Amino acid sequence: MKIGIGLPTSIPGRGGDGVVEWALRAEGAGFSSLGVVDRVAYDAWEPLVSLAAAAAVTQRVRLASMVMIGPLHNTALLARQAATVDLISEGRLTLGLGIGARHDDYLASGVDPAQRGERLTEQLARLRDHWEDTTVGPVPFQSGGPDLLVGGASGGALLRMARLADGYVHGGGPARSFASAALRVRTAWEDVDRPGAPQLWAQAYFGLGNPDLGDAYLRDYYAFTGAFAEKVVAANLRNPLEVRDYIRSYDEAGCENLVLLPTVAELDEVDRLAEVVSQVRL
Amino acid sequence: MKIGVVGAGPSGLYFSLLMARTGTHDVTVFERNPRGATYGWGVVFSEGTLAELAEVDYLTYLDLERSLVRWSAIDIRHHNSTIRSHGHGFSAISRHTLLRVLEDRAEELGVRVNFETEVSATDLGSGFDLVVAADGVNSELRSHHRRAFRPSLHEHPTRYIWLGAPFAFDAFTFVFAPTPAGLFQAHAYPYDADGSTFIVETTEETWQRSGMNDANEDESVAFCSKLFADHLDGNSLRSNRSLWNRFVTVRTRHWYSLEAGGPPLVLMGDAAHTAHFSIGSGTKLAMEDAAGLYQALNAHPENLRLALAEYEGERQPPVARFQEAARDSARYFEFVGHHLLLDPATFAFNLLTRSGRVTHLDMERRDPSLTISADRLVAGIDAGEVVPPPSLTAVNVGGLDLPNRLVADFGDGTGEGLLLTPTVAVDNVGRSHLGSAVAGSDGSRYSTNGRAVGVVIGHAGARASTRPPGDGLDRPLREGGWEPIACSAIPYSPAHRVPRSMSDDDMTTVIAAFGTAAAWARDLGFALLVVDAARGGLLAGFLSPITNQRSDRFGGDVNARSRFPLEVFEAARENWRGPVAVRLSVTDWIRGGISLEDSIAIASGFAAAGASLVEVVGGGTVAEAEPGYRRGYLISVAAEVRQRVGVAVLVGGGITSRDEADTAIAAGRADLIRIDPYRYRRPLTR
Repeated sequence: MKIGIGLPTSIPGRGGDGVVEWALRAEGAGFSSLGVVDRVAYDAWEPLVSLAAAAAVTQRVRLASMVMIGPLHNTALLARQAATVDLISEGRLTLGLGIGARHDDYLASGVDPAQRGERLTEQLARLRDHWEDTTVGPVPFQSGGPDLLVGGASGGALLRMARLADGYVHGGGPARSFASAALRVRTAWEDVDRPGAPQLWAQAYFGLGNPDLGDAYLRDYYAFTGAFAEKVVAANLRNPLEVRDYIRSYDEAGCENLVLLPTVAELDEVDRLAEVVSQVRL
Repeated sequence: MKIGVVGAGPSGLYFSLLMARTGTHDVTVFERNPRGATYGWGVVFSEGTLAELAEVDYLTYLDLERSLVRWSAIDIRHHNSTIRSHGHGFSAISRHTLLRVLEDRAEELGVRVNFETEVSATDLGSGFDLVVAADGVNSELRSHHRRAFRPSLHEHPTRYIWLGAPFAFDAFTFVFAPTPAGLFQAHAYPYDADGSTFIVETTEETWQRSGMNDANEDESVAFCSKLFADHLDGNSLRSNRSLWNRFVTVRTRHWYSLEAGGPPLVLMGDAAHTAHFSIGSGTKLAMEDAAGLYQALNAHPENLRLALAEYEGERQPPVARFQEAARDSARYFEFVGHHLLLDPATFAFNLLTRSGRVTHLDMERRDPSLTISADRLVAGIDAGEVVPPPSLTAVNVGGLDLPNRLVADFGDGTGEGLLLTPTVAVDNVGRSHLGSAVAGSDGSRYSTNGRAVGVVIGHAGARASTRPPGDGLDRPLREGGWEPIACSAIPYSPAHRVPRSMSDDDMTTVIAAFGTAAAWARDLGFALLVVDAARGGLLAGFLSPITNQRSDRFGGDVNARSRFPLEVFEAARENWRGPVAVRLSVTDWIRGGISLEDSIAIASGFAAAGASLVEVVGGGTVAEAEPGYRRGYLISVAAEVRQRVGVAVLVGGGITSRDEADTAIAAGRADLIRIDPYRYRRPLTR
C-alpha cells in the first residue's frame, strides 16, 4: 500500500508559503501522493489551483483530489483545468470526484443540488470525451486523461464508479468498513463486466503535534453534519500508535493508496507523520 | 451523573446496574408495567455474548449463569425425518428469570426502579443529565423525537405467533409442517428445565387460507397445538397474550440526540433496532448496547458528546451486520417451502447456512458428519471414499463433464473447471465497440488447451456503438458510430443514440446471425454455448418491462416479452452440438423492472427450450440504478431459480473465497460459482 499526505489547504491559518513548502517536504519525505479536499462554503483553497502550485515545485509525487465536488463545475472548464494540472505535473494528476455532502456548497456556487448524482454520471463521461477529443483543449499529458476516482458507497454511486471511473475513494472510518466497501466496489466492477480492476483509495485525518487543535478544526469543519462531527473527531489519529495501527489495518483490508489528511497546518506535521510512517513495515 | 432510564427491560436494567455499580451515578428507571409482568418466554445468548457479560459484570453473569440452559444440537424436522446437527453452542434463559436477576442486582446497587410509572417525552424535561430510551420496539421517545433519530420501520410479510411449550426441547428445533393451506414452520428452543419458546410462522397467503386471519387467541393456540402435536409429546402449546403478528424491523439513523429540547437522549436495544426472531439476537444485542454505552460513558467521563458518539460508532456496525443476517434469515423463511424438495441433509445444510454467517468451513468444524453427508450428495460419492470440497467436485452440465464447479473468465484463472469468453457479437451491428470480438472472425485467440471453454454470444442492442470499455462503459462513439437496434426506440442513456425499434426484417436478421454465430463457435470446438440475454443487451431489452414497450406479440406480459429471445435461443441451439446456457439479468435494480416471478418465468422458458444452465447476473438494463451490492448478493435469487425451475445455475457477484463457493454448492443454492475475478487482476494505472 502506498501512503500519501494531504495538503493543508482547507485548514484556516495556513500560509501560501506554507502549503508550497509542505508539498516540497512531503515529496522529500517520500510520500507517494498529495491529496486535497474540497469545500466551497468554508475558508478552504480551491483544490486544482492548489495542486497546480504543488505540481510546479515537485517532480515525482502523485496529485490527487479526494474529492472535488464535480457537479459544481462546468464540465468543459473542469476538463481543461484538470488537463492543465496534468500537463504541469507531467501526468501526475488523479482526479477524484464526488457529489459532496453539503447543500451550502451548492447554494454558494449558485448550482441546483437536485439531480447531482445524475449530473456527476454525465460529467464523468463528458470529461473523458473532452480529453479524448480535441475540441476543448489542452490534451492532457496522460493518454485518455487523468485517472478518475469516485467517492460514495451507495449502490448507485458504485455503479457510476464501475461504469465510468477508474476507482473508488473511501471516505474514512475503520478498516473494517473499508473492507466491506472494497468488496462492494469489486462486486460493482464485476457486475458491469468492466475489464481490469478498480483502484482503491482511502483517507483518514491525523494530528500528531497538537491533536486537540486538530480535533477543534475537525469539529468546526464538520459542524454542518451535526452529531456526525463527533464521529470524525473520535476517528482523528492522534498519536503514532493510532497511525501505525490504522495503516496496517488498511493495508490488510486491501487498500492501495491511503492518504492521511492533516488537521493542523504546522509544517512539522509532515516530518512527524513521515517519522511514524517510516516505522511501519507492510 | 443523574440518569433517567425509560423501560425496565434487559437493556435498561443492565445499563442501570452497570452505571450504579460505579458509585458515582444516580440512576432512576421508569417502567410502565408492574413488576413481574413479562411477555415472551425465553431468550437466546451466544457464547460470545456470555463471555462479554462475564467481563462486564461478573456477579450478574454468575446469577444468570445458574439459570441458563445450554445445548449444542439443532434438529430439523420435515418429511417425517429428523436431522440432528451438532456443535452449535446455544444458551438460553427464561425472560422472567433474566429480568428478576437484573432487577435484584440493580436494586441492590441502589437503582430506583419505578414500576407502573408512565413517563412521557415531556415529563423528562429537566432533572437529568442523560435520558436513556430503552422503551422497546414501540418506543414513544423514539417516535416523539423521530426527526432527530430518523427511524425507519419495515414490516416483514410473514405472520408469526409467539407461544410456549410446557417442556424442554433438547435441541433448537425447526419443524416444517405442510398443510392443505400451505407450509407452517416452528422455531422452538428450551429456556429452562420445563419450558420452551415455540414460535410458529407462515406466509401471509397460507395464514389467510388456513383461516388464522379470523382466529382469536384460543383458536390460534388450539390450531398450532394440533398441527404440531407429533412434536409436543402430548402437551398443548401455551399462550401469553399471543396473537399473529408481522415482525417489524426497526432501524434508526442516529442513536442519540443532543437537541431533544431537554437533556441528551440516547436509544438502546429494541428502541434503536430490532432483528428478525429467526436469528434470535434481540436481547443479546440489547444487552451489548447496555454494556457499550456504559463503557463509552466510563471512557469519557468529562465529555458526554464524545461518549455518545463513541457508543453509536462502536455499536452501529455490529448491529447493522446482525440486521443484514437477520434480513437474509427472515427472507429465507419466506421462501423456505421452495427448498423442501432438497435431500434432507442438503436442506439441513441449507437451513443452517441461511444467514450467511455460518459457512462450509464453520460447518466442517461444528458438524463434520452432516457436512460430509451434504458434500457426498454433491459429489455423488459413496461412504468410505474421500470427498473433495463441493466446489472441487466434478459435475456434468447438460452432457458436458467439468472437473470442478468453479468458473473464470477466459484469460484469467488457475484451474477453474469452466472458462467463459467475453461476449462475442453475433454481427457488426451487435458490437459494443469497435474492438468487440465478432462471430465469424478468426477464432484462434480462444485456444482451449484441452480445458472446457464456453463461448458467450450476444448482441449489444441499445448499448452498441460505444468507445472501448477500458476508459469507461457506455460512452457512444462520435465518429464512425452506427445506428443501434433494440426492442424499443429507447436510448440507453441520454448520451446514446436512439436505437431503431426492430422491424420484422431486423428480427429475421438477428435470428439468422445468432444461428450463424453458433455454427461458427461449434466449428471452433467450444464446449458450451452461452446466449447472453442480460445486462441491457438486445435480448435483455426484450425481457425487461422497462425497455420493452412493444405493442406487438413481442411486448406485454412476461411470456410475450420472452418470445423473441426464445426464438433466437432456439436458432442458436439448432446450429450447436452440446449443451447451451443462457445468461439472464434477474433484476433491473429499479422500480417497475423485472420481478422475481418474471425471472422464474423467463428462466423456465429457456429451460423448456433446452437450456442446461442459467447464469444468474443482475442489472445493466438501464444506465442508472440502485444495485444492492454485497457479499454473495445474487446467490439467494440463483437458489430460487435453481429450485423452482429445476435447472443448473451459475452465479457470481461478491463471492471472494472458495469457502463461500463450497457453502452455496453444498447448500444446493448453485451448481457453478464464479469467484471474484479480481484475485487475478491488478488495476490498470497510467
